[in-house]
Amino acid sequence: MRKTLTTPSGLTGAVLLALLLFLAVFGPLLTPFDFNDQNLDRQFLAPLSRFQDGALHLLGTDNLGRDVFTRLVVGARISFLVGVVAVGLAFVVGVPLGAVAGYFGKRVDSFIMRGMDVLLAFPSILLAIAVVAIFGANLRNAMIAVGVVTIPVFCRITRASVLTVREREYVTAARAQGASHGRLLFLYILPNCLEPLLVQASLSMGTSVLDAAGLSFLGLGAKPPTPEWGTMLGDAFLYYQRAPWCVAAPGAMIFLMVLAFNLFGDSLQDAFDPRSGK
Amino acid sequence: MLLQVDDLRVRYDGADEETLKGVSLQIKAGERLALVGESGSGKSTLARALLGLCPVVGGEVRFQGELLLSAKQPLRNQGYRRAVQMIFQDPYNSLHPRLSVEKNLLEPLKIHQLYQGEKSVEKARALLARVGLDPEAGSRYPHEFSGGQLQRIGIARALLTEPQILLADEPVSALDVSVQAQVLNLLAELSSERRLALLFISHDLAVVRQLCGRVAVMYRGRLVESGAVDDVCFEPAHPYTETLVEATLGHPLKKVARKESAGQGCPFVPRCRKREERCWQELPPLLENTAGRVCACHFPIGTSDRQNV
Repeated sequence: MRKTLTTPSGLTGAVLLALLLFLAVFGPLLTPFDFNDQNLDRQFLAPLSRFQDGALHLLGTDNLGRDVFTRLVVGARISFLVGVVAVGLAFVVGVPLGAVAGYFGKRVDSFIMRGMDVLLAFPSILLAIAVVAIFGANLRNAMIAVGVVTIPVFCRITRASVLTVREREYVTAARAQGASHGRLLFLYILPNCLEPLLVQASLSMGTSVLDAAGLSFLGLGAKPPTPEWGTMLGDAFLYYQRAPWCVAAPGAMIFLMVLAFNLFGDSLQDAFDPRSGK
Repeated sequence: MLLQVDDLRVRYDGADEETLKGVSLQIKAGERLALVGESGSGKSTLARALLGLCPVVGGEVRFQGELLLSAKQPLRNQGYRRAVQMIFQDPYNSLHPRLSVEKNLLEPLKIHQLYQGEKSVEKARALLARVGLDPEAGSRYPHEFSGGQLQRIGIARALLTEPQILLADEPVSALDVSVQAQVLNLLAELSSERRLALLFISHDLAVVRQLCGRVAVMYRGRLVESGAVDDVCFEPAHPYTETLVEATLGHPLKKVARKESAGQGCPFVPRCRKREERCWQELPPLLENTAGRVCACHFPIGTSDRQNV
């Protein structure tokens, strides 16, 4: 962890994440507006402009006169939630499946991994659209859809790690004592597979946020007036010439959050890799 | 007889041929038997098979007369597992890196449901002291120790279940020469003081002569010769043993032109200095030629044609 923070990119990622997290937690306290306050007198105010009552709209207002900054800040909460729920779902389902496949091998392995191949065969956003189409378009289903799409990633990484770790001599030593499958898998093998999974979790947070925003942009995720970044982007898209800040602001937030998770994940990977020798 | 192995055969999934092609040996209580041979001869496979870690396709293993392992009967006996413990080749990899040394030591007891809290912890500390480590070392983690120390910890772990046989798979080959001797001495002392049988796997005859009374030589999954250590080292009967002795004790032997074998016949024939027509056709059986001495060769080396030794 300390190694991660000493690299420039790791530090950038961590600082960005900390900033976003701060906004998500305390942001709503920093603005006098509610994210749903509509006021047609205040339509399309440019960033940094003040209304007659002296209230500052840091990032301007949208077509309904809602404060864009306030909506972004509330949207950060949603995006973190999406990332955590989607990755959590993929982790909770993918890791045990991959562990069982790698540990038992043979037919169990073929069965599970062929299933994963089917999931991987679809382009992820298409598969997510299919999931949403079946269960209905709302934020909860979008999170589930993004999570389902991410399952094979965790499954494969876990399987690959289990395959290497189970051949180590300390596992053989426990096996020679007649240790149970559960003990071998949960005490000996899985704790030593965690590092690549943590890296993947960080990287997948980024893609999940992006995918969920994409679904919302297409109208398959969060519905207006939820201040989800993808939804905001989709709404603002109609009048982008009149109010380009309404498009740029949520777009920049998505970009920053994905960048933060990727930088952090990448340097986490470098820190865990003994060959980097730092 | 403590451990009796008869015609043990192992074949890994998907392999063309058996890795162990019928190996028989016996170990008495307290006896130290060495198993030597080059890489790939099946020494380690034999040890792993005795722990039930390899797919056995033929033969049987008896412990104190009781049949415990055969092709039809996978190893299930926890009592046997407790009585037969292994020391591994790579000390850096044989302990769980995320468990403290003490927890590593207690694992076998927990698996065998012999864990008794404070009493077991005391026992682990006493064993750490016995193998020459600070008993306080238990609270530290494996990466804080040197290879020699880790191997001592491995030995302590093997002793915790009070075994009767120790399988040592090249336990010192990963260690510095200066540390090797200490670990070997420790094994010798422990074996004497606890009447502990030792199956010591090595490719180094010089090491074997220090430690063991009897030696069995393996080549390509078969036993080719066995007998008292000094007899085998000074008067090898099998030409392969002779090359092995040459390699470790440094007597130069006449070079033999390699020839391709048809597959039947003696496996050593392509490298053998005494090969004759018959050796290409016929697999030599393992025969007792003199008392306590067996050898699988049609033309064992007699006193008349022994080279250099």
